[in-house]
This record gives sequence, structure tokens and C-alpha cells, in this order.
Amino acid sequence: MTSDEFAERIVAMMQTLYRVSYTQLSQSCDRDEAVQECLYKAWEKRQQLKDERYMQTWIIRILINECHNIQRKRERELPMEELPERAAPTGADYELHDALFGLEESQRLPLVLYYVEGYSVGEIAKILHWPQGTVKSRMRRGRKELKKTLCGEDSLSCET
Amino acid sequence: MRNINELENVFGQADDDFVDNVHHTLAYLQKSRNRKPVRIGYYRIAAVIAIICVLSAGTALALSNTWGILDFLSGRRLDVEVLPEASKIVQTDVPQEGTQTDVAAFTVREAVYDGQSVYIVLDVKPSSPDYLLLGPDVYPSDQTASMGPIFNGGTGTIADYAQENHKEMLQTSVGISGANCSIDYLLEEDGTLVYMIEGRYEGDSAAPDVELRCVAVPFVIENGKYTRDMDSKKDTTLSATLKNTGTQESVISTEPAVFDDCGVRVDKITLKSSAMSTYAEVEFTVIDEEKYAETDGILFEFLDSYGERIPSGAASGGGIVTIDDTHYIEKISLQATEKLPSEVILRGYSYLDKDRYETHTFEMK
Repeated sequence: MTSDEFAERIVAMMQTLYRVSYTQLSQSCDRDEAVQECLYKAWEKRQQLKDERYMQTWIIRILINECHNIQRKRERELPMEELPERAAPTGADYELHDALFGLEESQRLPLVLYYVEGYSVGEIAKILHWPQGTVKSRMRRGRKELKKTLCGEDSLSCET
Repeated sequence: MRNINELENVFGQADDDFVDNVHHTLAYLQKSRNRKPVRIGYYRIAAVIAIICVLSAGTALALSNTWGILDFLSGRRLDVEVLPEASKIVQTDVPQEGTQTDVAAFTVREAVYDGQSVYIVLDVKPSSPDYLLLGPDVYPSDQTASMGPIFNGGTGTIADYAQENHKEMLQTSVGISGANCSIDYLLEEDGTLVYMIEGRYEGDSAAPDVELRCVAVPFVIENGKYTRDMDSKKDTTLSATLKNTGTQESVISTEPAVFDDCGVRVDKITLKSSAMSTYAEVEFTVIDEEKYAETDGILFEFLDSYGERIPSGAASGGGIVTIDDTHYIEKISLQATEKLPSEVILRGYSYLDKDRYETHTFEMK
């Protein structure tokens, strides 16, 4: 893969990179740092990608790792209670935003990968290195919590 | 009734800064191929503001223009303690080259290099009193308090302040080439922006040259919005020669231990001490992938003999380094100590769930 092809494919993934990093990191500077490190690592290890069809999944896996690294670093620097609340971005559905970010990350991340990024349960299991049963149970718990938050059990329709 | 497929509407669109950052990184990779880009880590600005508000000692220091490395650690960080000997290893006369741009001069004020981490305080002095220098994650729409203690109690945005005082705003950033850095900064009364930069920088050289990439970008108004004028970006690479004071002592665990609950074996723990921090490395191997996956990524914490977590040290955590698919090293900075222990207690925990796993004691030699 040439550097131009690499860049072209990364630019095509821009919104996905943004959403995945946003799902895990509340601070824009942390998201920038995670994406920068992810791109460097992906570029450095691009020869390890045996089938370019899976590039997007591979990049997301690296990005999620980098986001976790930053979370761990931040946890050591300052107590989690110091984290400022995450404000919904301009144009976002505020109600759904707050409900989604009220979930634990272990529920939020698979929901975003499934309903927003369009991955299957099997693909999410590979991306997150979780057993498929864990992915399903965490998505189920996440959906249930979302329903509770969004004004009543029957307020959220889930087509799965 | 809401539909879960509406989740996409939660995110909006990637903001301009995010997009710029991706393009900038790709351009860097294309230009320099395999060189690592300068990567900048930041302390969370909101947390920094919170610290600023309660630290009157820090404010006094700021007013007298004497912020040094130890002042930043004691005045702007929570519960960080270094040994008294730390003051003896602070370099105050740092040989350096390449410090000037058209809009600002970048000068290393103080440095410490203990063979594990670099700690640098750097002045960014504007070439004109009309320039207002901002940190790398501060924008005109932010409150003035985000610029440092001299704005404590002030209200209004930085853009308002700049307009009232007829100042041109420039965003600055500084990073150490080849190191992941954490950054803190504050504006002093004479307009100098003072950075505290810290990053892991391991090496054996007695006097390594550290490259600092310094950037200043003016803000301009475009379509009624402040935006960075990247065409007018000014940058310089500052080379500083540091003195490696080295670590004082080192101990290694004698036996591995299996953390059965979380599916890993800790192969080796290494502790190295300096007056700034105790640097710990925990090397571990995943021996049960399913259990390991259930932890969402195991982390380790060091406990004292009472079972209390040993506080973090002056250096930022180094995160997890991947050796291969099953081998990892977690790098941790612990509070500096006079003498390294002959045994340590290590506990596994899950970052996401905060679950605590089993504890093992390691003999250290």
C-alpha cells in the first residue's frame, strides 16, 4: 500500500475515527492524540495487514487500544472524578447523546460499533477481543439501560 | 418512540480541529515515512483549571515569574512528591540552539533528565507586546481562566480579552520529538507562556540532545469564526543538551506469578529509582485469552503493606507497550522513594469495570 492509498483510505474513514474516539474519550485533545498515535502505528505496521479489505476493522482495533492507553494514563494523572462532563457536539441529538454517554463504556462501545458503524456481532467480538456472548450480553444490557433512561421501557425500538 | 438506529445522530460531524489533525498527521507520515510524528499529550485543561483555583501558592509563584519544574509539580499536580535531592538535579543553564521565530522566542528555562523521563520548563516569549499566546488546546472562545492563575476570578472569553486589549492571538504548541509528552502551561504577567513538558525518554547517553518542536499559529476571523491560519504558521526546532543524572538503584522480581482470575502471568517487575519518581515496569503474558478478554484489559497497581495504593509519581504513566499478541509491558510512575523495597504487592484491576482482582507479593532483588 502506498502512502497515498493509505492516506486516501484514512480520509474516507474520518467520521468513523471521530465517532469511535469520541465514544471513548471526552476531551478533544485526547482524541487528537489517540488518532495521531493510531495512524502512526498503522502506518508503521501496515505490512502486517495481510488483507487490505480488513483495513478499517484493523484501524479501529488500533484506535480503541490507543484510546484505552490514554484513559489509563489520565487515570494515573488525576482522579476520574475530575473529568468534566461531556457536552453534546453541535447538531447532535442531545437527549440520545446524554443517554448513550450515561452508559458504561463496555456497553456503549459495542452499541456504537453495531448500530452506528454497522459491524456484526462477530466482527465486534474480533475488534474488542471479547467472546461473542459477551458482546451480545453487553449490548443487551446497554439497550435496556437506554430504554430506561429514555422515558420508559417502550420508548426505544430496537431492530436486531 | 425513539429508534436505536438514531444513535448516529449522537455524534454530529467531526470538528475542524479533528479533521485538521488527521490531515496533518497523514502529511507528516507521507513526508517523513517511518519517523514518529511529534505527539503531544495534554493534561485535561478543566482539571488544570480546577487545580489553579485552589492553589494560592502557585498563584504567588506565577506573579513573581519563577515557575520552575518543582513549582509545576508541587503547585499544579495532585499529590505528587519528589525527594529533596530533586532540586540538585535540576539543570538551570541548558545549552540550546534554534530558539527564535518571527513571533516568539522559545527558550528552555530548566530541565531534568534522569535516564527515564525528561522534565522541561520552557518559556515562549512573544516578540511583540501585541501578541497573546495561547496553549495548544485553548481557543478564543474559551474562558480567560484557562490561560493561567493571573486570570483567576476573571470572566469572559479570551477573544473578548484580546479585543479589549488590542492583542493578536496565537496558538502555540511544544513537543519533544520521539517522546509521548504531557504538557501543562500558564501565561505569566509579561506575556510569556511557560510550558512544563514531561515525557518518557529512555536512553544511556550521558548528555543527550533533545529536539523540541515549537509551533506558533495566528488566529484569524473567517466567515465570522476564529480559525487557525495554517499558512502563517511559524515553527522552529529547538535542540537542548540535557545532563543525564541517571537512576540511582534498580531491583527486579525473582519469580513470576500467575494471576489466575484475569488470565495473565506476571513475568517480571522492574523498579528503578530517581529523585523524581520510581519507574516501574510490569511485564506480563496472557495465558488465558477468554479470562483476559473479560477484564477489558488488565492493569496493575502497587499496594503498600496496608493494602493502600501507592500514589503516582512525577512522570506520566507510560501506558501499555505491546511486545506481541500475548506479551505486554505496563509502565507505571510511582512516588519517589529513598530506598527501593525488597518486596512489592501487585494487584490486577480492570480499568473499565473497576473490578479488583487477586493480589500477589513479589520478592525484589
